[in-house]
Amino acid sequence: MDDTLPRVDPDRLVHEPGRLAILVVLNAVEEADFLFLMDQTGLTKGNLSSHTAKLEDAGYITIEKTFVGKIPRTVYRLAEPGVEALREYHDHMANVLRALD
Amino acid sequence: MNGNIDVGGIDRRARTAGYDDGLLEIFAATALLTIALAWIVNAAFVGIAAAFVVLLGWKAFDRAKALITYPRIGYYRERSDEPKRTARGILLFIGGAFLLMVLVILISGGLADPTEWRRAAPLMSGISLAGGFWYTADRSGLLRYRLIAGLSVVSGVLLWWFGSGESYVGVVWHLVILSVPLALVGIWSLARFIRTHPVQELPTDG
Repeated sequence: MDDTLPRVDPDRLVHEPGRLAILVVLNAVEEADFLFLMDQTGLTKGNLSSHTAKLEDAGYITIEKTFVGKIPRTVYRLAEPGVEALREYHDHMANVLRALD
Repeated sequence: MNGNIDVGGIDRRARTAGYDDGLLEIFAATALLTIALAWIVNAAFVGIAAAFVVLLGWKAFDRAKALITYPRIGYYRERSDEPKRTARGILLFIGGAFLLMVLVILISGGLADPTEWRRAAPLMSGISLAGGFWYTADRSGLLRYRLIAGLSVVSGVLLWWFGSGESYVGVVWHLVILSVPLALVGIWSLARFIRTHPVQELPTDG
């Protein structure tokens, strides 16, 4: 193996495509609800619930349940550790791609 | 969703999702036509019309979003710019446009002549509104706002060049020229948005 190549060890929590899609969407907006995340990521309801729960456990996103009138609304936001994780993931993958050039 | 994701595409879509419904264009066209109408009735009403648009227009816009957009693609809030920086940018831009207008009037030798001020008013309006549309294009990444910004400058310059300055009709024409394509694009986008995005059942366990 070539020693000049960087070690490929991305954050697995971010590397999973579904979770990466959620983080990318939340990075693009200030906040979004479940339906918006479903619409933008193309994930199913079950997958989205499971991925957002994992991201919340890791502290990467925050989930707030509110009411608009009498209608419940769950709002998702990217937390500071999530911003940092996404930035590190970006830098890591950019290094890998640069080494392969 | 399969294992491959288009990160750039998701990022771009999420940033422009809020502009697909055409509501911003309809709101902008209505606001410009309201101000144009106020100018036709009496120039003194322009300030009141502008305040009316700012205070009530955005509320109506938010209400329309809640009724039309969110039930179809979900609720989201765009990232907001730092308010002080935005306000400084707006003031600098409008100040620059005003200085340009003064310079143009000075060159034409009529600083004391109200006719020259009225004649140059579409120039000021053209550059100021272009700044707003250019800023929206930067945020949304949508070419149509750059085209509207270009139309604003070109129509402003032409109305100034060929204007007589006998009244503020040049500004009214400028507002109407911008409103028409905005309204058409907005209505077309809204119709397409409603057709392609049916109201979705709200997920219960989000």
